[in-house]
Amino acid sequence: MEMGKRISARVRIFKNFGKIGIIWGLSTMFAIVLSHIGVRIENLLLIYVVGVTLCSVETRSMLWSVSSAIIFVFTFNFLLTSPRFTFQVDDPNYIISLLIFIIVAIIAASLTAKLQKQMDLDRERAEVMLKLNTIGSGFLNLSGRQAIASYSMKSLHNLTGKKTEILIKTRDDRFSDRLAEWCFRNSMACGYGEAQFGDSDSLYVPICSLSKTYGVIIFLCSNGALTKEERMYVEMVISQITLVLEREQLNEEKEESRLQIERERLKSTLLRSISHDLRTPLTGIAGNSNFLYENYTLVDEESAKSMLLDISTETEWLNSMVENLLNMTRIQEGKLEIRKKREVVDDLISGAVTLVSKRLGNHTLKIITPPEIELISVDARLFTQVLVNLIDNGIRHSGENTIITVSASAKGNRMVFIVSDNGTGISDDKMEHIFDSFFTSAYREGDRQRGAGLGLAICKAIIEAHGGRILIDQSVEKGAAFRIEMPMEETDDQ
Amino acid sequence: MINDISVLVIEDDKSIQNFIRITLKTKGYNSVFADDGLTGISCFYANNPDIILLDLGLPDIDGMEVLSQIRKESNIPVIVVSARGMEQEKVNALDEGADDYLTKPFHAGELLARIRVALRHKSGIVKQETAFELEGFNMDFEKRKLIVRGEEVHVTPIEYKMLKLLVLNAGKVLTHHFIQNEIWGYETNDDYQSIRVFMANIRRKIEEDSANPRFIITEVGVGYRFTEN
Repeated sequence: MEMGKRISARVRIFKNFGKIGIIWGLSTMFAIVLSHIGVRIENLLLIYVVGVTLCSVETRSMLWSVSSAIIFVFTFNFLLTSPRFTFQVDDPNYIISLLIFIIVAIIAASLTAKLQKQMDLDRERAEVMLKLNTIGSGFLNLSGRQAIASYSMKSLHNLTGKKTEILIKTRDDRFSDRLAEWCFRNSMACGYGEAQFGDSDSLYVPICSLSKTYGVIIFLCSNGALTKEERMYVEMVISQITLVLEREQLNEEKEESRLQIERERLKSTLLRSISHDLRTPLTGIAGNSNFLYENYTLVDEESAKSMLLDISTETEWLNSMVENLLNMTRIQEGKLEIRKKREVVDDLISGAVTLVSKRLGNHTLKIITPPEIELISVDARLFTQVLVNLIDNGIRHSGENTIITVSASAKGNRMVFIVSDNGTGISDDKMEHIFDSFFTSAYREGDRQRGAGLGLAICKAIIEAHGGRILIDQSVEKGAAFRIEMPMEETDDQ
Repeated sequence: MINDISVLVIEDDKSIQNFIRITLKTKGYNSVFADDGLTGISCFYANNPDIILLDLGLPDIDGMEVLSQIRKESNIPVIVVSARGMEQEKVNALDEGADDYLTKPFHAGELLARIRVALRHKSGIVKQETAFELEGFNMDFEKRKLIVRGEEVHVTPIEYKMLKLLVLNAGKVLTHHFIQNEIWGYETNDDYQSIRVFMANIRRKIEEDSANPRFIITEVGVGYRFTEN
């Protein structure tokens, strides 16, 4: 490092020598030529004033300008004032002229040098300001801590030219880097060139606003410390980062309170749903069983049997309903515990099929499993419930004698399940709200639609909690089809 | 002969008691009822039952507690009863020595089937058999041969071991944990993924429709059961 600096300093000295030499030569030649023509000596002196000014413009340094002024004065004195080719002066007027020349040269030089420096500084500042502005506007359309961190990292690296790393605290865990942790806890810079941990080769700067520390920026300072200006710019960027992070936090809080409201709404709807959806089958059970109890001897065997079958079917339905309600309660409490295990797709489907097979009635169930044995990470019970709900929907809403198809196949890095039927399909106006019909249409339509909204809302909640998505497959010609896309992990060592 | 069998039912709900009493009476089983865990344990000592039906949610003590008390004394078949969604509870009970489980609500048929299987395994008839036959599924343990729907099916040694384990325990649920221990003899931490994969492979070999299996039933969150009929 030191070597490089010394070399560049030497190069600059040579360059300045060269420049002054050239200007000196040119002014002298010009002056000699003019003096031969017979131009008056005062004017020749002015040529040298121009020369000195040029020197200060070129070298941008007070020292060089003054030195050049002195050289120029002596040259003028030596070459042009009589007695020529001596450093003596005959006319005392010349002495005054030379003195004034030196003063003018010095003033000109210092002004030029100052102006130059100012201009350099301005240009540099303008550049940095431009950079800072670009960085600042870049922050505007960022969201997510990860994006903010990586963007800040890139910007700071551009600004300082140093290898930069940004750590942002998410939970109460500790940074693995001891110095970063110290810096975070104390909201104080440490590391390279600081009072604390000065022997480290990295500089740790906290990202903090007045009230809160969000993280730590680490600069690798193996090629020197940050300059004062750079530190100032870094501070400016940090204030922008904190602003964005604060905005991010506010957004999160807003989202949280939105969820809170949603949960509240869900809770009240859930209560309505319990009273509605549970009472309907209960009415059937209570009515039928009570009738049978009171009129035991009067009822013929066939009607008794059909009433008992009704009771049995209604309880099946109630049971599935309770399972859904329990899951929904857990979802709305935000406590839907997902115990993911790597499950074989065949198992998930067969688990669901076992549960619904009793209530298929006159519907036919067709199953297409993937050709290979595929594993996905899911909570088997919840996922099975999703398939059960979709098949149940098919049974209840597709009409009579339909074929319900459950298929699963791997598409790229996703496992796609499709539950479809060849029945009446979903009307266009319901299409849009079908997954949240729980909130709206299910209760307006009365008994016809009982429970449908709840089932699908749960499917959606469960699938999304697994990082997958569920949608209506519009590609089928006839009937309804639901498509579930589940992420498949990269097959690890197994 | 069946009339000699007495069933101890430890269950606090009166209407379920009534339902179980009627169901058991149709098959000629004698039944004794206990309303809570402690009464259940003393009934166990006093009545010397042949099989116990134990509800895991009892008013006084935890059903698991009752199970471990009974297991200290005897190998009597115990069928635990618990609600859907309490899979972990069932798995724990099975791994603690329960023979099988029933999920509330259950049908009379299911109840009787579980009792029949548990009693059969108690008498140890199956274990001495040299072959197993069920609706086109033939397994010859001596010749180590498997014939399904008239065709010989080739399975790997581990698949054979697993299938044999399931078949010998036909009708009874086997937890992943149990299968793991019986086949490999040690625990792994792969969430029983290998068992699932082996089971899926076996299914594809022996089932006509592996997603709607005839022989090997998946008990979601608990384990597998080889059907007994």
